[in-house]
Amino acid sequence: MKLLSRQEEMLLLAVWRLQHDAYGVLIREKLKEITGKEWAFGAIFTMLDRLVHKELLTSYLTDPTPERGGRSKRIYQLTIDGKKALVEIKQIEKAMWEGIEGIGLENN
Amino acid sequence: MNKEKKISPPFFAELIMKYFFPDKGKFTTVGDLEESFYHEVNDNGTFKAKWWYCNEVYKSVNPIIKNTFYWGISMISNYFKLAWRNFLKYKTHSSINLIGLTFGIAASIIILLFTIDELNFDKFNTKYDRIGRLITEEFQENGDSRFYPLSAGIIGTTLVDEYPEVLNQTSLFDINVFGRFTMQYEDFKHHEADYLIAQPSFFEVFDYNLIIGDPQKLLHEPNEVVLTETTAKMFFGNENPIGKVIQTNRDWGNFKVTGLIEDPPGNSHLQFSMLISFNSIFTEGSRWRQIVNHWDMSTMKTYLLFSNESSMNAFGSKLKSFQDKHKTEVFGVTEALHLQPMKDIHFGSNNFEMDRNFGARSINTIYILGIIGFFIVLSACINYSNMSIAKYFNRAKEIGMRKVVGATKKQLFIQILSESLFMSILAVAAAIALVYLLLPSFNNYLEKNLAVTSDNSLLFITLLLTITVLVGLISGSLPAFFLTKLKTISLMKMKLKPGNTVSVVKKSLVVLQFVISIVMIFATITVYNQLSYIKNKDLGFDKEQMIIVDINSRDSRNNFQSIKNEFLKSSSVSKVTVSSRVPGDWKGIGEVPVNRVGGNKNEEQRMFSICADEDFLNVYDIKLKEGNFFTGNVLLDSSTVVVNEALIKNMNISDPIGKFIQINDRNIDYQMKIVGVVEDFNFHSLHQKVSPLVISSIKSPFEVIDYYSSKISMANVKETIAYLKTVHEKFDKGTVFEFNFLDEKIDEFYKQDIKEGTIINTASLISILIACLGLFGLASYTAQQKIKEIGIRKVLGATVSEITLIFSKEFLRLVIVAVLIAVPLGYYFMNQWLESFAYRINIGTMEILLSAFAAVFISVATISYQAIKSANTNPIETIRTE
Repeated sequence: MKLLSRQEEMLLLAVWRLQHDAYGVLIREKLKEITGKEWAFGAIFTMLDRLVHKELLTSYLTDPTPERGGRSKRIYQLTIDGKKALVEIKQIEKAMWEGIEGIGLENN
Repeated sequence: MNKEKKISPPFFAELIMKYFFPDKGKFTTVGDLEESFYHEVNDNGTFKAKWWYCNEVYKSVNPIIKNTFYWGISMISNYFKLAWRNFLKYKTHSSINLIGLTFGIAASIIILLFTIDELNFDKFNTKYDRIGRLITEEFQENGDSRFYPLSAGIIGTTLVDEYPEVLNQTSLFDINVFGRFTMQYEDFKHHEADYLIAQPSFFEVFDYNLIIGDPQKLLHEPNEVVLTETTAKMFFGNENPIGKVIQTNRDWGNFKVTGLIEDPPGNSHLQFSMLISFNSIFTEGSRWRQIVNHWDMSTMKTYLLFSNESSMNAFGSKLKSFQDKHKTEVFGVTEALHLQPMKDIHFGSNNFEMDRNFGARSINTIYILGIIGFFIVLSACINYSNMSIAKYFNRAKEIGMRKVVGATKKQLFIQILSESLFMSILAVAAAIALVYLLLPSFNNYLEKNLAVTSDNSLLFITLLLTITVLVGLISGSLPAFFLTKLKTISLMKMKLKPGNTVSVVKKSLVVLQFVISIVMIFATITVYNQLSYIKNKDLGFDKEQMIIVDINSRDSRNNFQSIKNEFLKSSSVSKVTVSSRVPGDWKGIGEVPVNRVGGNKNEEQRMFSICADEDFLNVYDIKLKEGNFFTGNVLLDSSTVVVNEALIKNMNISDPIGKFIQINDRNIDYQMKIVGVVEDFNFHSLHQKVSPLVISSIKSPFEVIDYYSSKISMANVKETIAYLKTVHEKFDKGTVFEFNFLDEKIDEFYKQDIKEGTIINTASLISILIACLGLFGLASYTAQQKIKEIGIRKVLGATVSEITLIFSKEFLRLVIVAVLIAVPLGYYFMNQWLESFAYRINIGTMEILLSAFAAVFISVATISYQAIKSANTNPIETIRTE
């Protein structure tokens, strides 16, 4: 299987962290919180869509809420494949850093 | 709270978002965005939030649009590139398609221009939709009606007075009432025939462009004239015409030019060379005051201007009560008034008499042209369909590969359609070039001024685009439909047995094409036969070698005996007669009310009337059936008449010689004795049956002489004419010598028919050409398919002629089916056309056989090239490769 990209990894982790609150707005805020950068909604939508297409994520709809103009939230959840992919990338990362104490800039 | 409600995301941005991210109708993404939007509002204020929202939408949508366009365009440009390569690769097929489509589209473009022009008749009048023309219907004794666009002069003004919705009226006299007269400026003499006598309100109702003159002030005074540019140029060259005085030979005296007007546009039903002020007629004679105020004297063309269109449409029904109110012995009793809206004048005046209605045409002509154009284009589309189905079977692997690589049905469909669209764009471009080349000669022939102008360009371009797209879709949809249905595996294996449906559809399309062509051939033959029948039909009088000299002045009229004698002195003039009208007259033959003696007023019938001297019968070689013709003795002749057979039959007079009939003239009844009966001769065109005719002597009160008819020998025609001219000028110094050849004038009756005939010929030529191209293309395809079969047959001993026969049989069968369908159709249509002639041929087996034979012959000739070519190939070359 193809490895996840860094962005995908971040997105999947954000979804995992948020659990039952993993919908667009909060995902975006989470990502902002972690990375400190503004994420465009468009980027998030397309990526979420792609991950659903790859069957790493599934989604379900909540009841409509008034503060969103009467619209439902689409809540995303990891699938088994999604979790496997995260584990895989984590192991690879770990393997990559294995035995490396530092590259000399960590303390700056 | 209230304020809270007002803040919402920018509407338009939200709409875009909804369009691109519907999320199965739940709009969850839109919801996310909206939620964050309110956060933004709290953090940064409304304005910034809105800006942020729009920016987010832009960032989301931009890549989608970019992708669609980029890939869309590269895809379509690839399709067109392929179309172009295939166009070059299959040169025969492509050029057959292109030529067919080009001719078809060129024909339809010309038809389109013609139709646009025709439908715009009179539309230059800004009040076009609320002008109406009064029509008088005259009831006949036998229950028929006759229609004239004429009515009494007083009606128009009375209608304006009595009905508020009638805003204005204008009445005209044309040449039918006052006849021609001679105009003279310095040495230049001109015989005027195209004038209108108009009231000042002419400029208030119509919109003809004045160049010089104030429309408020023109045409009020007697003896004023407003000239058109052409006329002014003819009289005065480049001098300023205003204030110039033109002399005439009539009692109204001289005219002073007070205005200059543009020539009436070519699509105006009123055509004129000058406008003479209405008040001039009272200087011509005081009796005109009574005539224009007399309810029974229908002499003027009256146009009414209404406040709006609906009041005009409702007005027709009010005319009955108007007539009841002003009833006279005739008005409202033997005639009824109708209102003809201006939009109906061009197409709806077929059966009106005394109607000088320029370019009037039957709406059927437009329908027929439209149908012909449609079928020609359809025929060309069929060629494309049939041949591309054939061609695509050669390209089966390509389509198979596309499918394997993942092309969807929809994409294949689009690809095939884009190829046909490509072809139709090429064809339209070529057709425009062709039309550009041909249009001047068409205009010349049709006496039209067809062009793409700023007025109609938008309509024209829209229609042209529609044609382009329609042609592309019609011709491409059939191949697209069949090819996308095929299985990938059979495409890849090139195992293409054209299915049953495909070949049935293809065959029926070929049959349809040939049905169209055969109907056209049929029409061509019938039109040709009918026109030559007319040309050669015995009219009942002699029209050859006859020179007709007009009598335009009192001098010429009073000295007729001397002029006649002088004419006869020439050795090349054998006979001369004078008469009020001649057979086949082009100016309209007068009518008189005829009755039996002591009959009731309401039994009276209007019948055609001419007067003639004693030589008339001899000069025109008209056969006398009973009795005698005039004696030449004025006293004896003046109370007698000669009538034709039709009159005897109509009035049911037995043993007519010596009987009396009663003719009314200006309210005096004259009792006339019938001294002779002549055989019917066609004094009108052959579109009409011979009507009853009264011939009276030259001293009768009903008519005055207007023509000299001279039978001349064909040698030295020029000298003869010059001689007649000198004689005429000796007696008549005032007017221009005017002459015509009778046979030429009679041929003019059929000018319209001949033109229609030419149009049908051209159209049938094009449709035959297209059908043949199609057949040729199919034959070459079949030859390719059957190449092995033919090779094997030859090896086994088949001769060239046998193979040719086998090859042609398949196509001939189709053509014969087409003949069977086309003949009844053609028979029906041509019978309809022939209905417009009172004297017509009957469609016989000759026409049917001839058109069937022509179709078979043309198709055999087309196929045989391919047939003989493939029959003559060496079998080694065709069967050695497997």
